[in-house]
Amino acid sequence: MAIAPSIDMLLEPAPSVAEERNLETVEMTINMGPQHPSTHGVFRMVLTLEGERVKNVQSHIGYLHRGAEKLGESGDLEGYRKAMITLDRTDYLSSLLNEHAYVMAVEKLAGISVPERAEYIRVILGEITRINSHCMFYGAFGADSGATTPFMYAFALREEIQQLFEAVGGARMFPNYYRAGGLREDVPHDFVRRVQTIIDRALYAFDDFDNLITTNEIFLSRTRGLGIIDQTRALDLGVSGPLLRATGLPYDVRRSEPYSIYDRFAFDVPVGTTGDCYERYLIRQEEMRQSVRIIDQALKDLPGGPTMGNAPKALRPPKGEAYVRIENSRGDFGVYLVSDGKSSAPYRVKYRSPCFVNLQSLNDMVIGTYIADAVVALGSIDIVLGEVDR
Amino acid sequence: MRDAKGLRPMEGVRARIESATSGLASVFGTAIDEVTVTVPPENLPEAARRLKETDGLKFDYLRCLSGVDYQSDGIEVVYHLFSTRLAQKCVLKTRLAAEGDAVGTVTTVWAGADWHERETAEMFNIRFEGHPYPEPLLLERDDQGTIVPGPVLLKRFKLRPKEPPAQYGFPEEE
Repeated sequence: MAIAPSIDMLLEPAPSVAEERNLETVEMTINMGPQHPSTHGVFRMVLTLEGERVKNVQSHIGYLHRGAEKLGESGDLEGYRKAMITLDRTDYLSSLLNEHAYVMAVEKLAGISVPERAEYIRVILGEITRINSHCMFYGAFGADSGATTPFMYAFALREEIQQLFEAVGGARMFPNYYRAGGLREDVPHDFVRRVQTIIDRALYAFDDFDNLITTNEIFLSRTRGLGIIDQTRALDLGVSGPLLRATGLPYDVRRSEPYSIYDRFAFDVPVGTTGDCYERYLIRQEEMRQSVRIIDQALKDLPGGPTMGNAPKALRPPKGEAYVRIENSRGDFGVYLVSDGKSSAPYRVKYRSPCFVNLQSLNDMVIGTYIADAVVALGSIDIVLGEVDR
Repeated sequence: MRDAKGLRPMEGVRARIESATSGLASVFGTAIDEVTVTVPPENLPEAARRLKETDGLKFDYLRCLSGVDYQSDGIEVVYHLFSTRLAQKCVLKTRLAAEGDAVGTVTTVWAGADWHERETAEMFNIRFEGHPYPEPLLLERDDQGTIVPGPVLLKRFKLRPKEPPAQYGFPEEE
């Protein structure tokens, strides 16, 4: 009976023919992207290869740059609401989380208070968005590492979540649902039942996700020990989200600088030890379960009452600046808002998107690996190019 | 010694920054719940290094780096900092007199400032001296080497209304 080679043996890089026979190989430069299915959007890596090994990588971004910040500053009729329209379209997978950051920045600047019910609904929808986004990661990461089935499983759950978004905000992708001071309108009457159904099914779906690839030997050998960044380097780069937590630092904005009402819920922040691609995957899997935990608690306490405070529709906050950040599904998302006290539109809007910073760690991850592993390493960052380029 | 959000109070942070940045002509202020410290551009890299390395400050995490165009009052470069170990935050600022001016790079202090600085440089037409690769990031150069469409986030750069598309179909026969 043949004995299957252990994973550690597979991880040992075998000496290539060129290395064994001491042959000279010619360096080759190839363009991966901008249009390439595994770049998750429009992203170009210029890879310098020696055989199949990556010697150097140069990232080129900006293909999706639409000037979201400039457009946000130019709201003449819509004022402070205009920035949210373009913000929704930057990170299209975590629109509601980013909207939360933006409205919190406006509320902080203008000193607006938010009704309890609105806060709870924001947390519930935010965590559902996180599950939705991590499902997308799960599907795409599976595809990156050679498995196509995860995509189908992930999208079955995503479909139900998108339908909930449609019922709540009127659109599947860009809800534009939050307002400074609360929500655009109250949730539908069957909201609690629908969310309950989704999280009940989600828990079964997560088990399915696990059964499919978490302990799959091929998946393990493709992801374990790959793309390691140590903690010091990760902090130096400003990396956040699952990438930073995989290095062992329990750094989650919901915990380290609690916002909204996150201090009322019990949840764990999963961390890794080595900081490789596999741990990033595991952390995201666990985060989805923790999100369900938060939603469960929030649904139990969901109060009645209004969903909109007495905030004026045309805002003119006093002169000043506010910086607000949240933990979105990819990491630390920040909104820097400056008001000049005169105009009805923000004087300056800056989005600090987590992917923009996380993507800088690509060089550390892929140099020295095989070109096929570069795809997996890039997938483990979970980039959304709309957010990188803004 | 933590507030409701688990962060250290502003006054203590301010006092520690004051002693750490002595001799750098720093001016203090507040932005709602954060301490702001403004230094002249020539002192900025030194101030950044001290904020990161001084005991009791240890601002090891660059939250955000951005610019704000105050038109006749110059261009402000803003560094939002956080200390993951000590749970405290602050805002470091510097004011450049006009576009084309330069401030020293902080990529040697926080490596992640690399892309932030490239983006801020192209959007506000300012320079970060000593940056390892001072090339545009999101925008591009045209044949003549100028960055198109220009320093977008400056207030003098106005958005044009979209031009109507050219007529489709065949030109009319004469």
